Amino acid sequence: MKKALLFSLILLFLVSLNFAAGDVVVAMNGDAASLYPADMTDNYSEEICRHIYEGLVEFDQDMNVVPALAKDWDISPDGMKYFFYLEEGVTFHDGTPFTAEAVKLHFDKLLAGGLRRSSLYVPFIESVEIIDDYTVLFRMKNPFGPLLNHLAHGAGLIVSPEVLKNYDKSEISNHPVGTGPYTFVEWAKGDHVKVVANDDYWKGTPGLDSINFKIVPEANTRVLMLESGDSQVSDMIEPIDVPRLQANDKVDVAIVPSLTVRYVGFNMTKPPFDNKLVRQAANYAINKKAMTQALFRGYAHPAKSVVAPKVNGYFETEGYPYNPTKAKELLTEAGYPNGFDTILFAAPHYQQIAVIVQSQLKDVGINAEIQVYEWASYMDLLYSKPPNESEHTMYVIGWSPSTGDADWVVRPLFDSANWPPDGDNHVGMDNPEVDRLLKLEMTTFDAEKRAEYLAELQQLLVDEAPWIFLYVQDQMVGVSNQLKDVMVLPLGVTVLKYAYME
Amino acid sequence: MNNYFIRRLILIIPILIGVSLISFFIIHLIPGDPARVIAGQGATSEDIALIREEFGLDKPLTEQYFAFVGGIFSGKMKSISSQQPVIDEITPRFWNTVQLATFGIIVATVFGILLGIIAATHKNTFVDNLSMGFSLIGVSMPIFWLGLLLIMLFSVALNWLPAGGKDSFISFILPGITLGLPSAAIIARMTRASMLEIVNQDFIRTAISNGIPQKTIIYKYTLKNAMIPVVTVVGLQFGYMLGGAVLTESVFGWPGLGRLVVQSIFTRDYPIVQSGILLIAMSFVFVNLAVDLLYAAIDPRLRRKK
Amino acid sequence: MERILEVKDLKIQFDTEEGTVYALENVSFHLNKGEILGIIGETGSGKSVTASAINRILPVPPARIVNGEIIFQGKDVLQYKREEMNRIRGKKISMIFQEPMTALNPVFKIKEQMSDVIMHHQKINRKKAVKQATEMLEQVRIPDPEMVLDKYPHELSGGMRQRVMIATALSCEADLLIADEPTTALDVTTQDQILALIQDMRKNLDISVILITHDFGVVAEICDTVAVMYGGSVVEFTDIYTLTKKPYHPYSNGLLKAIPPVDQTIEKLNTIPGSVPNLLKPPPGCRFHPRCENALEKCKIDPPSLTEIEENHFIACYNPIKGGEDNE
Ligand SMILES: Nc1ncnc2c1ncn2[C@@H]1O[C@H](COP(=O)(O)OP(=O)(O)O)[C@@H](O)[C@H]1O
Ligand SMILES: [Mg+2]
Repeated sequence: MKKALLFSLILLFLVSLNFAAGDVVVAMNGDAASLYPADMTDNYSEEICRHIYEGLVEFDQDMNVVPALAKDWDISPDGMKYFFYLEEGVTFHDGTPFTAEAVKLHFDKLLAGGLRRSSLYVPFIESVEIIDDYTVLFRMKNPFGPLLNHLAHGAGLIVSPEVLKNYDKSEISNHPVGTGPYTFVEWAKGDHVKVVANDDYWKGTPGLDSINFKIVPEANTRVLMLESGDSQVSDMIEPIDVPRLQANDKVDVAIVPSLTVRYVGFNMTKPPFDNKLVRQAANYAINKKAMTQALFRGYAHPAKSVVAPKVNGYFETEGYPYNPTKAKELLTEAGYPNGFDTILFAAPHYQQIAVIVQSQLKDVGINAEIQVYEWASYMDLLYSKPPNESEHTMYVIGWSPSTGDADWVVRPLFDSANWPPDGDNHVGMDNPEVDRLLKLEMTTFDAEKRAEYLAELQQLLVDEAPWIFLYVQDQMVGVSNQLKDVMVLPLGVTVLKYAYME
Repeated sequence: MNNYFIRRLILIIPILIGVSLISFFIIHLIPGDPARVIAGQGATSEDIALIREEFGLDKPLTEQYFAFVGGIFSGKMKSISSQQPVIDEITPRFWNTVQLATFGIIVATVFGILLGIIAATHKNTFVDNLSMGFSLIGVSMPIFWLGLLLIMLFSVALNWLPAGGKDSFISFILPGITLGLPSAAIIARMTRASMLEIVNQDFIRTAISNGIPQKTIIYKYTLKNAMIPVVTVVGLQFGYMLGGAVLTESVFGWPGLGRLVVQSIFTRDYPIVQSGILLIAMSFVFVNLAVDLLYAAIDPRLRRKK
Repeated sequence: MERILEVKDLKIQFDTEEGTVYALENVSFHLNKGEILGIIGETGSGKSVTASAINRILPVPPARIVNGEIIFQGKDVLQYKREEMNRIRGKKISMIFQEPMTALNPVFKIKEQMSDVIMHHQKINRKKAVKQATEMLEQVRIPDPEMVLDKYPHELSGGMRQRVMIATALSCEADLLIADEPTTALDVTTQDQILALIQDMRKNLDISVILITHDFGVVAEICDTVAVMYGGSVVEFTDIYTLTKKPYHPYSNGLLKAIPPVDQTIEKLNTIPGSVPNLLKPPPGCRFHPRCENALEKCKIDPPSLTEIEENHFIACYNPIKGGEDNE
C-alpha cells in the first residue's frame, strides 16, 4: 500500500519533468492586464504581445527602429506623409491575409479614441489611407519627429481585422490574433499565458515549440526556478543574485541598461525650490556613485540627462558630480547659509533611495523629513492638482519612455501645457525656452536637426535642474545558456521572437 | 435542525451587506484614483477621463455603491484594470485558492493532529519537547522563508518538485506544505492541550477502569472529545487560508485570490477588491457554518432536538 | 471464609509541585468473598486513593506506591504488567464512580461504550456484545434497554446513568465491584434504589463489593464490614455490628455520635473540634492526635499501627476507648 503510493508519486514526478526541449518557460513578475495591445499600459502585457503580434516597425536590441511588417517606407519632404510598403504573403493566425486594410482598421480604432493608448496617435495622425493592398499612407496633422518610435510602441502591434470587427474592445483581449511567430493558446489568469510556434510564420518556422509565460511575483523564486530548470528565462533579477547566477554554468545573465531615469523631483513653483541655485546645490550634494554601489552593487549608473543613454535622442551632459563644498556655496549664495527644512516624499519601493538622499542632503544642511505614501496615494499627491496648489516638495520617482524616444520624456514632463492634472509635469516647469525647444524637437523629422534640438534642450534641462539626477538602472534577466538570441530590450521587455534552443 | 441552518443562512445576508458597505467605503475613502494608477504615468487627462467615465468613477459614491450591488447580481461588472468581467477574473482565482487551501488544511490537520497526539501521549518527555519545539518553529517561521527553503531543497537541490506555478497535482505539494505547516503547528498545540485535558476527565478514568486498552482510549475515547476545540481552530485556519494566502501565493506564483485582491488594492481596482472581499467574507461564513455542523457531528450535546 | 482481597500496609505518596502529599499511610483491610466492605471517612481521608490503588488507576506519576501489597485472588495486583492489568480491570475488578454526570463518555452512545467493554473482555462481535448489554441493562432494572442503549449520556437522568455504569461494570461478571460513593450525587429515592441494586447484584452475581461512602447510614444499611479512614490511614476495621456497638477508636466513636438521623452525611465532623490534616504536612505520630481527647505523649511521636485487639477487630490507637462505649 505504502509502496504503491510512493511509486505513483515517483511516477508523477517523472511525468512532470518530462517536457520537450523546445518548450520554454519565462518567469515574469506580474500578469498581463490585457492582450489587446492598443488598450493596455503595462510591460507584462507588452512582453507577451510582442510574441503574438507584430507592428509595421519594431525595436532591435539597441532600441533602433527597424522594419517589421513594413519592409520599407518613404516620408514626404514636409514630413506630413508617411508611405509604408508592406510585406506580402503574410497572414494572421486566423488565416486572414495581412494587407493595408488591416493596418488601416487597427489605427482607425486607435484614432477613434476610447482606447488606453489612443493618445499616442490622436494628437499627431490625421488619417490612415489605403493606397493599394500593400501600401498605406499615414497623413500627419503636423510634422512629428518620433512617429516611427510611436509605431514601434506596443500599441502599434497590429490585430487581425476579423477580431477587430467581431469583438468589442474588452473581448479582443481574449482573442489575441496577430501575425507573430507564436500563436496564442491559453491564458490562465494570474498563472500563465501559453503560446505555441506559428508554423506558417512568414519569416520561417520559429525557433521554439512553445513559450509559457509564468507569473512568479517573488524575485527569489524566479531565480530558484532558473537554477532548478523550472524556467529558461527569469525576468527582473535582483543585483544580489547576479553573482550567484553568473557562477552557475547553466545560466547567463543578460545585463542591459534600462530606459528608466530615477530622480528626485522638485516642486519648482514653491520656495526654496523655485531657486535654481538650491536645486543645483542639492544635485551636488548627492554622491550618485556611492548610491548606486550601495543599492545596486554597481548595476546602475549616474544619470547625466533627463533621458537614459539608450533612449533615442540622448545627449550626455556633464551632470552634477559629487561636490558638497560647491553645494554649500550655492546654498549660501541662494540665501540659505544654514540650509532649510523640507519634506521628501516617496512611495514604498523608493524608501531606501529616500533614506540615502536624506542623509546626504543633511550633510549640506538640508533637513528632509521622509514621508512615504503607498503608490495610488502617491499618484494622487503628484497628479491631482497643479504643482503650485499641491503640497508636494521633493519626491522620488522615475520615468521610462515606452516609445524609446526622448520626446516621450521631455514633452510630458516639462511642457508648460502638461502640468497635472492634465499631464506629468509635476515639477511645475514653466520655461519659454524649454517650450520653444520642445516644439522644435517634436515637429522636426530630420533626424540630425532634431538631435541638435534635443541636445540643446537636455543641456538646458540639466542646468535648470528640475530634479536631482540620480541614476539609470540596469535590468537583469537570467537566461538558460541553451537558449540563444534572447532580446532583452532596454524598454523592459524580454523578447524571444528570434530565440532558439541550442 | 433544518430550521436552524436556514436561520443561519438567512443571517448571512446582513453580514454580506455589512461587509460590502465597509469594504466599499474603506477602499473608496482612502486616497488614490484607479483611473490614474491604471492609465499610468504619461497618461493624458483624456485617457483618465475615459476610464473614469467607463467605470462610473465620476458618479457620487452612493450611486457607485448601488451600481456595485447591481453589478454583483447582473454579473456584468468589469475589472478596471483588465476590463474583463469580474466574475471571470475572480472565479478561477478563487477556485485555485480553494484547492490550495483544501490541500493546505489537509496537510495542517493531518500533521497537526498527529504531532499533537504524539506530544500528548509522551507528555513531558523528550519526544514531547521535540514535537512542541518543532511546532514552535512552525508558528514562528516566516512563510516567506519557509517557502524559499522548501524550493531550494526540493526544486533546486533535489529537483523533485516544481518551484512555482500550478500545473499538476505535484504543484500543490510545496505551496500546500508551506501554507499548512504554520497551521499544523497551531493545531498540534491545540490537540496536545485538548488531549491532556480530556485524559484527566472522569469518563477516561471509567474507560480505564473498565479495562479498555490504551490505544482505544487514546485514539477513540480521548481523541473524539479532544477534537471539539481542534475543529474550531481548523475552521479558523481554513478561513484564513481561503482569505489571504498572499505570501504563499507570491512565493510560489500561485494564481490565487489573495494575490489578486492585494494587487487590486494597490491599483484601486475597486470592483475586484470589493467582490473579492465579499467572496472571502462569504467563505468565512460558510466555513463557520461547516464548523458548526462538524461540532454537532462530534458532540451530540450540541445537536438540536427536532 | 475465602478472602478475595487483602490490602496490607499500603503507603502511597504524591509528588506534586507544592511537595510530597503523604496520601496513604498504614492502610490495611481485607474483604471476604461475597461480602460488602464499607470504607468510610471524611472527604480527603484517602478513600478514593485506596480504591484507585486496588484497580491500579492511580496516575503514576505523580502517585508513588511506597510500600504495601494488594492481594487479589491470591496475587499482588501491584506486580501485574499493564496488559495483564487491562485484562483484570473490568473483567475481574470493576469500579463505578461518584460522578454519573461525567463518568460516561459524552460523545459515544451507551450502546457503543458498553459493547466496547464487553467486546474487549469477551472477544465477541459487536452484535453479540450489544445483546449482552441489553441483558445487563435489564438486570439493573432499566425498563426499556433498547431505547437507553441508543441514547447519549446527556440524554439520561443521573440515576439512569449510574445504573448504566453498574451494568457496564458488571457486564463481564467481575468478582469485585468497587463503588466509590455511587450515590452521593443522587437524590434520596434514587440513592435507595441504587443501593438496593448493589445488594441484589451481590446476591445474584455472587460478587464482593467495596462500598466507599461518607454516609454512615449507607454503611449501616448494607455493609458487612467497615474500614474507618482518617487522614490517609485506616484507624479501625471490623464488622458493622461490632463497630456500631463498640467502637474502640476515638475517631470512630466521634463519627457515630455525630449522626443522629440515619441518612446524615459527614462531610465535616462537627462534634470533634479541629479539622482534617493537611496531607502535605501531616502531624507526626498519630494523624488524629491533634483532635483526640485521649491523646498521649506517645501519640504525638510514633504513629500507631493497625493491630487486631479482638478477633477481627483492628484498631490503630495507643489509647482506645476502654472496653468500647456502648452507643445504645
Ligand atoms: N493526583 C493527586 N495528586 C496529589 N494529591 C492527590 C491526588 N489524588 C489524591 N490526592 C490527595 O490524596 C488525599 C486523599 O484523597 P482522596 O482519596 O480523593 O479522598 P477521599 O477520601 O475524599 O476520596 C487528598 O489529600 C488529596 O489531596
Ligand atoms: Mg473520593
